[in-house]
Amino acid sequence: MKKRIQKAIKRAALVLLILVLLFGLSSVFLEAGACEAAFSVCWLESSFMDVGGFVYCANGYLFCKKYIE
Amino acid sequence: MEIRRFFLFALLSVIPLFFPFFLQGSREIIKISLEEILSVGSLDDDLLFQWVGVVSDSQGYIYVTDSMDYTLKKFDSRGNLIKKTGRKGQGPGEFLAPRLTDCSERFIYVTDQYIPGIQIFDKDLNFKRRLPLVLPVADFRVISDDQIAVVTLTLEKTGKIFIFDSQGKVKSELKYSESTSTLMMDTVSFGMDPQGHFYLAYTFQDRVEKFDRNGKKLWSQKLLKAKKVKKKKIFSYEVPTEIVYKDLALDNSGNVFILGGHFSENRSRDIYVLNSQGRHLTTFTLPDFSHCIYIDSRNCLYSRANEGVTLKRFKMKYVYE
Repeated sequence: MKKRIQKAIKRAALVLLILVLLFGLSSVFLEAGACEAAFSVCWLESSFMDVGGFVYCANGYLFCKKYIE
Repeated sequence: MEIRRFFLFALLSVIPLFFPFFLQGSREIIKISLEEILSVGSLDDDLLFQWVGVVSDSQGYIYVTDSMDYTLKKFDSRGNLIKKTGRKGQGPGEFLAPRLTDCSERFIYVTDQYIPGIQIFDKDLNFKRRLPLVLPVADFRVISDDQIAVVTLTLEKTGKIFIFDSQGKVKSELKYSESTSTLMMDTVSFGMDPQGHFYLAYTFQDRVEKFDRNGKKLWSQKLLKAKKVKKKKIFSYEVPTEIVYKDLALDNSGNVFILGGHFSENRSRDIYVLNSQGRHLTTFTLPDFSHCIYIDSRNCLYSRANEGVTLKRFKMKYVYE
């Protein structure tokens, strides 16, 4: 019985953690404009530590700002 | 005696022909109006989907990069599609996101947002080679087949224009900024006059500047009295979120045309005109939003309409004081 409860608690915690992460990220995206959101996604995809990737994302951001806004 | 008289007569009859040019040179523009003379692409055809870069060669052909169908397109001066090249990919002559373009007497140069370097095509749009550059290109101008001026995006704090040779080696560099500002704050659009002067419009600052070929600043102007642009923290970097100037182009008299961004009364439509000494002459407004402006050797202005589906060419009518 105890094991079941522990498992349920672990699952709930995991779900809660995912929800918190998703909520946190979505708030970042919703707060920012379309270009800022695209920049964030681009950098997430390219990995945080990749400076080259970051510069290319910045170039995309620059284009987005000029073209869309 | 007869010959002398003939030459004198010929000289006197030729002088009035040049008179308007002398007058134009000494007087300054007080107003510019636009007359649309060409429209390429519409919502009802598939000539253009989302054009980005445009350039016209000395014969009047127009070359356009189209981001949506991964192509470089060649139009005649009446807007008829002559040829197009490119497809999605990273191989020779292929694109992922074709962007800026410029030309020399022999070649067309095209950048891509996701592919490093500059691709070079002949005037029949045959791929010739790729100019190897490591960093992404924010703006570039072809000086000759062996000299290309490039502004790249880096994490460095100093703003530089690099002059590359045809092999992609740096021949010289012009340091235009030594500020300690944050990322992208020194990004510029730039143009060059035949004397080798550089004109810079800062993307995220209210600054328009002129430099000589040795990097000496000749003047600096603020046109909009814009306060500092807003910034947003995206993860660990502060990123500017408002554009002050979108693009810069020169006409064949050396006047400087600057397309305004968020701080302009008519965002992405107002064009500020300065003389080569940096004096603001006039401002006029495009009929549609545009991300860029281009002026060809006949002083025709190119801009965007229908969110990139249409390319417009205007004859600029100058009114002098």
